[in-house]
Amino acid sequence: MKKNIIILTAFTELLTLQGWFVCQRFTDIFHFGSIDVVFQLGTYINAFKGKPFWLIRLFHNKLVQDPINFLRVYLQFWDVRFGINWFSLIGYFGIFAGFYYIISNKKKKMYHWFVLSMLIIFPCIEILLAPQVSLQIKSIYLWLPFTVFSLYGIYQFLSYGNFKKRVWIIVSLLIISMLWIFFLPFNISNYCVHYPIHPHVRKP
Amino acid sequence: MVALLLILPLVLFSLSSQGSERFTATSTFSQIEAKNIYLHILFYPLTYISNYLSFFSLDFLFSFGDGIGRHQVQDFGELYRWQLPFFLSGIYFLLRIKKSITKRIAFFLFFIVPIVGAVAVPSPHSLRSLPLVIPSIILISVGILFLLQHIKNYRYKLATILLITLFACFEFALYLQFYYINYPQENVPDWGGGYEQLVQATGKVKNNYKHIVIDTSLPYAPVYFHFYDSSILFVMVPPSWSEPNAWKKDTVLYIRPYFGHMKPNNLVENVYLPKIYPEVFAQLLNIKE
Repeated sequence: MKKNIIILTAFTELLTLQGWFVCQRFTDIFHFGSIDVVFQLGTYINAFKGKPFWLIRLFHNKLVQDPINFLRVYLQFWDVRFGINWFSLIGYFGIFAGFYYIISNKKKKMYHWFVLSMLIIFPCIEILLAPQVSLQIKSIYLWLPFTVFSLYGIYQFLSYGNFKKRVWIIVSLLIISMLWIFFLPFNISNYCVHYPIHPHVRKP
Repeated sequence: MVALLLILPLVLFSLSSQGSERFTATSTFSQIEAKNIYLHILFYPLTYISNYLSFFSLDFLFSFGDGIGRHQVQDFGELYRWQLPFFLSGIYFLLRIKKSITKRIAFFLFFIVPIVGAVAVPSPHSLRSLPLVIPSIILISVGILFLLQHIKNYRYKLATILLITLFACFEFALYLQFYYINYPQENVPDWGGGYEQLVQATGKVKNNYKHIVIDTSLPYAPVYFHFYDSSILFVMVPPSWSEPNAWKKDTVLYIRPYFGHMKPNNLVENVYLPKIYPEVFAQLLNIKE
């Protein structure tokens, strides 16, 4: 039973690849380099006419603004709206379940820490470097690790607690995810610059 | 019974066509375009779930808010950024506790609040998620308390408290600074800024023109014109409007938002937003030139 559910989940998550493959590249909201921090600070400082210089510089400097900008871009990757479109609802649930079970594991081993750090670091490749590679390649370092991790999360979720109840939760999420993928148009326009759409792929 | 009687006018008005206008304008279901009733039935719950989940978006909660200028200070979400790690750890710690009233209340409130808000657009929405403040504060407090409990060394505990206080104070000061200094400058248009100046500028030249037309891209113009100077007579026209033949011999003043060209040939006056460094808000154009 558990095995079948995992296979079904993997299949569902595989379907989300459709979205990745009609995308040419991620939009600027994922790229730290796209933010012109000097211009941004300039617009903030404009409002301070007649105020002391130290007050302006206390709040508006690169040391403060860069981490804020980085966090803003980074949170886009963990946004529920991004997650359910790019990894499916069940996949997104699995990712968080995976995090929960790894963190709550009292006998954490080296590879647990390694996996956690990798998942936290992988989005940074896109954020900091904005590599000019196709989304197919990007999916290898973004989609694949997160999908595998979500399967781990769902496996763990099914391994503890009331099995029957948890199967129902997962099956419900699977049904919603399937319906989502098949019936709701991919809501990825906010996140990607499109390839010319292939006639067989539904328009985003 | 008395309460029912008292809310009766409200219920009756809500069921009338004027009353349901607001519902139609903000209902997420009225925005769905589906070919048949079966797709409608399918889309309703999916759209609802999508809206519901959007209230838990970390980007909404900690970084960008709902993007509506009247609801938030720029660069800030609904909660402070320093609270993010404690918010996440609060969820984790509460999930680990087996039977706890705090856990039940926090998660109950956390999951119940967006149920109503998700029916409307835009989602997520700051005002419709206001009660989320209570469960969020519970989660953040639990996160901080449990984290401090896990630090056994007194010095480390003190250092952690100091560090949290430092970040919290700095972000609060940053918020106040944005609220009192940047917000009144940057968010002038969100509060109808520029309309008063527009009415004044129009009032000065209104006698020179037989017709005054206003682009519908200035959607609140009728309200502000009636409020500041009800003697100005005007017609609202869509951006695609062209002068009717019957007006060819008349003088016409055309008012439209600023589209990037500071000094067009037929410019009568630029209307500026009331800011330290004024930006053009709207333009008065004489369409005969």
